[in-house]
Amino acid sequence: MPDKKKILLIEDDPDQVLMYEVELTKSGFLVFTAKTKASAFEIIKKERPDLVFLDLLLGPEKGRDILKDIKSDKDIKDTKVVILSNFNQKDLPATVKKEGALDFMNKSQFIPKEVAEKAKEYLK
Amino acid sequence: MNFFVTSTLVTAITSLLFGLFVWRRRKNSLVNVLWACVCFGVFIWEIGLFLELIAQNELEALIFNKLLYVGAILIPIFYYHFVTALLEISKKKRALIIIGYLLAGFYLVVNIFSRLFVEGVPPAFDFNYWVKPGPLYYPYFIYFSAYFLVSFYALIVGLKNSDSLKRQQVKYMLLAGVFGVSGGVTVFFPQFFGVYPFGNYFVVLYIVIVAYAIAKYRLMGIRLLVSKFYSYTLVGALSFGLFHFVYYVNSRFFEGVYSASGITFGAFVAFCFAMALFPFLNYVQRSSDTIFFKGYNPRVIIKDLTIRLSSVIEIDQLLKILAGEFKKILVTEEVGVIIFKKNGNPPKKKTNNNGKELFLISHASLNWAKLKANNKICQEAVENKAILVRSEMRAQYRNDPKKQPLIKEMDDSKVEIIAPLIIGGKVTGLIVLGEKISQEGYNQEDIEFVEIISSQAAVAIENALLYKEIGEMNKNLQKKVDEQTAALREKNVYLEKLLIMRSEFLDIASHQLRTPVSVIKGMSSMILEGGLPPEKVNEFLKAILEKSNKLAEIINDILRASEMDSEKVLLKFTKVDVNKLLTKLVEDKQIQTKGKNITLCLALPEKPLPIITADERYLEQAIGNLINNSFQYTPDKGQVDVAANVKGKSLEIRVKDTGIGIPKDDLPKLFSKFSRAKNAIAMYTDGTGLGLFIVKKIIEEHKGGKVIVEKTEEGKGTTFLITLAIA
Repeated sequence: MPDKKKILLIEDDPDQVLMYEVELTKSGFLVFTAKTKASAFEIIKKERPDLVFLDLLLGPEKGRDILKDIKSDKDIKDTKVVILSNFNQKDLPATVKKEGALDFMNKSQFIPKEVAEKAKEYLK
Repeated sequence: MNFFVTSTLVTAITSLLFGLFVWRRRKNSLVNVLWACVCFGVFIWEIGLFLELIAQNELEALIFNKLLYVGAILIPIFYYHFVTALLEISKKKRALIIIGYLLAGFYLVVNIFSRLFVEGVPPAFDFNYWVKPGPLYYPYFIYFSAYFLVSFYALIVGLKNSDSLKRQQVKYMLLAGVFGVSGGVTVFFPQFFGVYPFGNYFVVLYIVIVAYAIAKYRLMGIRLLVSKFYSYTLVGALSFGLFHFVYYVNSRFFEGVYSASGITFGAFVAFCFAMALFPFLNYVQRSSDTIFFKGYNPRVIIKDLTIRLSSVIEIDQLLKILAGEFKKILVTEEVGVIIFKKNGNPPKKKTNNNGKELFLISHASLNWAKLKANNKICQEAVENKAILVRSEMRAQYRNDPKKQPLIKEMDDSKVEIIAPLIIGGKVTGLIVLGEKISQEGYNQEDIEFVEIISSQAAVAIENALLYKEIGEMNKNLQKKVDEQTAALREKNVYLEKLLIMRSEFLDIASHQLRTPVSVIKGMSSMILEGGLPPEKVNEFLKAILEKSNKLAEIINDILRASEMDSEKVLLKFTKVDVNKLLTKLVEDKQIQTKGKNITLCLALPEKPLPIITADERYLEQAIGNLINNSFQYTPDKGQVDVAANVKGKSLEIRVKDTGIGIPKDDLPKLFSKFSRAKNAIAMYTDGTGLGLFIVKKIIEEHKGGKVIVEKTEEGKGTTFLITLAIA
């Protein structure tokens, strides 16, 4: 299906990867997953995903660093990135938006179905 | 009698008086005796010359001429001897001195018993009798010149080698010598020069110069001499004037001195003289002090000094002024001020025999340490609360054997005056004065001066000490404030850090609580929605269970940590079989190893471990936390070993892993709340930083409980050691 939108999920918790991957696939997206920055960049450059869901805590790597690197790479800086995290500091959404994120979503406030709906919204 | 003749008489009498004064002042000082000899030599010479010049016949003139040369022969060697004594080189120049005396002796004999020295006394210039030199007169000229020249040479050399005061003295002695000799030469050797002996007028100048040097530069320790001379002259002039006044009145208005009215008048004047004498003497003394010693009136000095003392508040400066003024005004070099320590008692006979309670601030060079070491003198002054004067005490206690050691001590330490500093009836210190430079005793006026100034000084010193004390107190206070501020700042920094750590913890904790919740919530909603393949449903349910366990674990940690933090942990101690506890714990933990591919082993000794007293639940949690930690920070295919053994009266439990190790920098804070090693954060993001804090708290609540990092190396692994008491 040539119309399928591509979504990259950058997440290190296998349970969450499983959960979002199943839901997004079910919602008609072509889902790619990455646990590290290196693999994420590889996929972004190769597959040019329409949307990236990015977790902020990725073991030794930080999601915000990955965001900055995407936004400072001329080749891929237009990639839509939505932060998907369980952090809920007050000013965090504003900060990541300033850093180039399209939006900030709190994982615990959205069930996977709602995440998929949001993804559709972003890609309209 | 012409002017020249008069000048010889004046010089003679002045020399005689001057010589007597110098000699009497310090009879046992070689310098003084020799200078007196020089003066007597000049006297004999000048009086001989005077008598020769007014002689009635030639024989008389010849006899006086011989007398004249007795003086003239002796002067050069006396002068040279004096110079060597003044410069303290007499011993070195002994040969030259002896030769001089031998030559002088030879010439004395020749002069008295022959005409080889002086042939006759023919008239010359406007004198009836003068001198005709004999054949031996010429070598005398050489002897005379040679001894004066070596004297001057020695003085010039001495000028270079002496200290400043001595240099001034030597300078004036040299000047006096030059004036005396140049004057004298024109008298002794007119035949060589063919000039009128005008130089004789200048001879008297040597006395003026030396007198000046004495007054100004304490030459021969007789500064007082000049002032005495002044005083005696004035008193003599008064007596002389009165005598002539009575004589004049009696002979003019009455019938002679011995008439009834004359005697009556004389008696009246004598009475008036007696009444006026002491006030007059006082006046003379005061004016002499003003002129020769202090430069101004004593009352003015006291006033000035009082103002200066009260205007200075620094103790060191005050003592400097005090010592300086005492030295200047009383002409002593030894001034000491002893101040008793504020809290220490004044010296007591038994308790304070080594002066420990005193401190001494002295500007003196005298050996006051002696005084400090033995306090008899101080005790006496403290007990008497009055000024002590050595000379007075010596007279007063002559027959009191008890006081003899005290007087001896004063003699030994050369203490002349001790004045107590009294504040509110309490002796707070002492002013100690040594001998006067002139070696004169202190007179009544001096003592009164010391009394007045010491009472002023007591107040000034007290104020200065208080000021110093306040200054020190201020300094201490400032120090304390600084310390407290620093402590507060440190605490503040610590609190700020704690706050940051707390907020980081809250972020992490909430994140960790939310993560399993979001999975549980998301997956269960998806299951409920349906449409999932059955194998996925199974996977989801497993994940939900795992996340629920994780959630329970996190909640447990947080609750335990807050419980540990709030107050003393209330443990329930029971008999615990560690063998069983460890076996069960390791078995339970085996489930977690499967997902991570880690081997977990337990090693127990053959002989079962003893039963210990512990809170089983908490102990299990502590060891469990260590095992969990090892799991979290040990990469795949790693190994975790739990082992236990008995060592003395302790039980040792080790949890050893092949994990990432702990960086050295993180070790000190490892067991603190919310603390996580840098590499731990990188390895495992979900840690709360509470695990080890809880372990430590639990273990330390147990008897003999201790937990340490026994061994750690980055990249190789860590061994935690728990020690518990067995009994």
